[in-house]
Amino acid sequence: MKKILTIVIAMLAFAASAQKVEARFTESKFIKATGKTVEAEGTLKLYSADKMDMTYTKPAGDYFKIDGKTMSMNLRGKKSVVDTEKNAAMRTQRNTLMNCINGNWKQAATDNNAETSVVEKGGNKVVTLSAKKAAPRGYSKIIITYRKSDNLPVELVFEEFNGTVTTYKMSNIVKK
Amino acid sequence: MIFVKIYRFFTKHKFLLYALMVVSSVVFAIFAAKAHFEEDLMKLLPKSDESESGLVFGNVKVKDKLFMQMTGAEPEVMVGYVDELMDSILANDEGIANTLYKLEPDMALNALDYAMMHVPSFVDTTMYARFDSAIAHADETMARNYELIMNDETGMATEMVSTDPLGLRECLMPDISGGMGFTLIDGHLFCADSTVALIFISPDFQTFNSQASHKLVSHLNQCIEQFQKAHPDVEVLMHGGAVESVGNASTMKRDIAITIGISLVLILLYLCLSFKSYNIIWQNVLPIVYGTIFALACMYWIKGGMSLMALGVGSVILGVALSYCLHVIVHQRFVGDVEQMLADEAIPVCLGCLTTIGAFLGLMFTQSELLKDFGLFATFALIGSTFFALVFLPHFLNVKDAKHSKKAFKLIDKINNYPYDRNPFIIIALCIFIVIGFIFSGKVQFDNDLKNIGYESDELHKSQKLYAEKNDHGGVQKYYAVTADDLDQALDANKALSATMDSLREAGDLFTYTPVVSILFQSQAEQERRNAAWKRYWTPEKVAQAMAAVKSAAVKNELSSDIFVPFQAMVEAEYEPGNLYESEVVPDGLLCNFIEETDGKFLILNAAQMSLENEAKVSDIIAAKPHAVVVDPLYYTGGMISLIHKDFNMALLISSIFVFVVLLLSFRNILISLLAFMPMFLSWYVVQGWMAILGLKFNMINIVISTFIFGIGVDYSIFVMKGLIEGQRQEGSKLLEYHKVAIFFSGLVLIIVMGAMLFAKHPTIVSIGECALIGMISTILITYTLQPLIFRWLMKIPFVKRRVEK
Repeated sequence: MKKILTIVIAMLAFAASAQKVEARFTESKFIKATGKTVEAEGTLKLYSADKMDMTYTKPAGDYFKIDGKTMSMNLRGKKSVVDTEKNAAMRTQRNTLMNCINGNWKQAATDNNAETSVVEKGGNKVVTLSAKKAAPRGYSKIIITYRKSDNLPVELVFEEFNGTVTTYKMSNIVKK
Repeated sequence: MIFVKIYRFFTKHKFLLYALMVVSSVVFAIFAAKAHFEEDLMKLLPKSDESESGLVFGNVKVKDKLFMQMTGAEPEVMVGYVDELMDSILANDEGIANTLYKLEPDMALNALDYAMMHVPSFVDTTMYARFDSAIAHADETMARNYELIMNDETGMATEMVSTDPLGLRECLMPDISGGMGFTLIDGHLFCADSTVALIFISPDFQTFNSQASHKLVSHLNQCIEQFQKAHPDVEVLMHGGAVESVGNASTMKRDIAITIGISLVLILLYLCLSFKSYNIIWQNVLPIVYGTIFALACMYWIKGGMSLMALGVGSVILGVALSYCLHVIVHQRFVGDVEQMLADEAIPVCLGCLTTIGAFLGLMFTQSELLKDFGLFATFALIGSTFFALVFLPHFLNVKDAKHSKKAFKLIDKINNYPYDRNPFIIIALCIFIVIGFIFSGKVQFDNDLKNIGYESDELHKSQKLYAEKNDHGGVQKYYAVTADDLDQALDANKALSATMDSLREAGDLFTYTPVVSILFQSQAEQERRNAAWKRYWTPEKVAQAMAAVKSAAVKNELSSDIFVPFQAMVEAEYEPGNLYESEVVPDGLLCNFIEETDGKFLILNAAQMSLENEAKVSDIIAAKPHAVVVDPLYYTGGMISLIHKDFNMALLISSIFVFVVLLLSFRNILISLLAFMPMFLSWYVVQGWMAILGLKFNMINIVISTFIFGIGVDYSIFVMKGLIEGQRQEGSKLLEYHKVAIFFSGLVLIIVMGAMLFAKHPTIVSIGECALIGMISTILITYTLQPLIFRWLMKIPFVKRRVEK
């Protein structure tokens, strides 16, 4: 009974932590193999703990959406809709992203078998998740910078095992 | 005479007569309406329609798959067209279990995800030699990787290269893609040369569920028709079990309705004109209707229903019933006295009925439900019709009515009274006809292939041909399967089947086959073996060797050497066996082509393409393997049909003995009985012989007609024999003349109906017509010629003459 109560409280706390947020973002993908960086930008909308949209204005038409267990994306015209229940890698990606954005980085660390470190820098809190072991897929390192005032992420860095690093920077963050 | 007594009784109790007739008709009609009609062609077979595996083919779903093809436009255009057509089809998906016409983009992602989690499961131990080669050729592979990475805008290609820099995936891919034989264009399925878009529809019912088949095929045809109106630039074709079954049933129904319907209308009109009375129509029709509803009600009481095919073939038997009615009506017209008519006709009609029933009851000794249904239906139909004709009908015959067209009857008399038995040319010609029939009777062939019984429209044939040309190398596609109680057992058994099919392919007996299951699906034990083999291969030394080769090749190609951590992690990872079948990675529409769970058994399916000539050989080789089955119920029917054929010969022998015993008891003279038996006996051999000469074959349907020939042959023979005996006993007796008139009308009716059947589209109807026409003509010729001739000879023997005249 105690266990169930703890889980329910944790779920309620998680749900409460989810906020409706809108922000501009820039995306910078550094491909280590070639040394190239691919830039993109757009608008991020967080509707709830399990629903968000990333609509790209550059390249226009691209999007990345999470709605419950479904992830849909359009990458340079290649559209796909994935049921994350059927795809472990996509499920981890979805959960990691949502947990990081929603401030639930501890869960993200567990999912990615990562160690954590938290450093406070000025008005921000920087959380670093470092993979304990190399893996064929996933992230070797995730760095999330939260604005201390409202615990919203202002920067997310996802580093893959192959050296590809994707950095998202948020601006014009508006709570709704 | 019992029927005369019954007639007198009901003449005094008319109300009772009408009450009995109306009440019994209503009761029979009510229960007849409740009878269920089974359109299952498999009912042709004995109940053991299973292979040795215990698999019940009726429940196997892959055989029910429908194939739709679109052709005529550029592939890119057809991609949109297929989506449009499928949207309209799936707007009402009743009867559709699943479809396969495109692979959703997430399928590839899900498949990759599953593959990454269970990499060693897909690596056969024989592939490690290729891995060694891949490590040795790392430089060349990396050069290709460089091109991929440099053109990568999304990071996905880089991810792939960093996970698999040696191109190990290429060691697996040829085996998989080579076997599939399809091309994917924008995720849509096309044949290898991209000219035909493919759609596979799996119904959620069995093909032999005629109602559901009809509903689905009508819906599909409607959607195709509407689509074609909007897009005349492309052609949509369709084939498959349900399409064939619906086309077959509707063609058979239409053919029966047209041929029998039109010929019956013409015959009844002719009868009206000959007898100058329209009453002749209902007088003939009512006993048959009564007999039919009585038979259907009996079938309902006994079995709940019957095979529709048996009913269709059984309708021919109503011709025999019509013959009895004609005897009653025609004789009444001549004698103008119902009691006299009953005194003259009741015995030969009852005797004819009894012997004919005996011929049909022989079918009860066969193992086929269809033949049993047919035998029972025919028996009850004859009992009902004869009862009506002898009990109810006489009360509706106008006692004074003896009108008939003198012109018509003059012609009939001319035909009937011609002394065929005294014309040596006719006698010799008939004898030659019979002797030739006898000589060739052993050469008639029995067509074991049930496929030849079905009707295929031009459109259906075109669709099958196009599919064979584009996907089956112009040959045929067959599914071979292994069955087992659980999936792992089945997967292990499939390994042996794959090895057999590999050797058949190498020997050139198969064009190709799809080894998808043996590549992608492994049993838990096999996966554990493969995981262990993976670990044995990827020793720290081997990993170091591979990484060194990869890094060196990367540097040579100006790529960062630090990006291959995922590759090292992949080869060093610990793997657990997975369950691809239950993972939902493979969509149902695709999975049902490879694995099927039916009747608590798992079937692993392998589609193979081969030439038509090699079909039987390949099937025989595979069917002999343990756990292996040919997923074609008709493959296993050949032996069963031969068995039925033997059964049938036994049934005919039993029928013959029964008929002969009845004749013997009736005539109480062995020579006369043999003479009465002769037309039935001879005509059976004549039919066989002349069918062989004309290149016609017996099949499961038209062989049933032989019982009809028996029945009608023995009837005509009994009536002629009674007439001959009566003529011998009473100088100037006109009984033979009257009987011959009835035989003339009966024969004319049946010859016209059977003749009309020759113009049908359905091969089964045509074969019934051919078989019955030969039988009818030979029966009538023998009855009119040889029977009186031999009777005359017999009457020259004093002892026989005395016995007959007694």
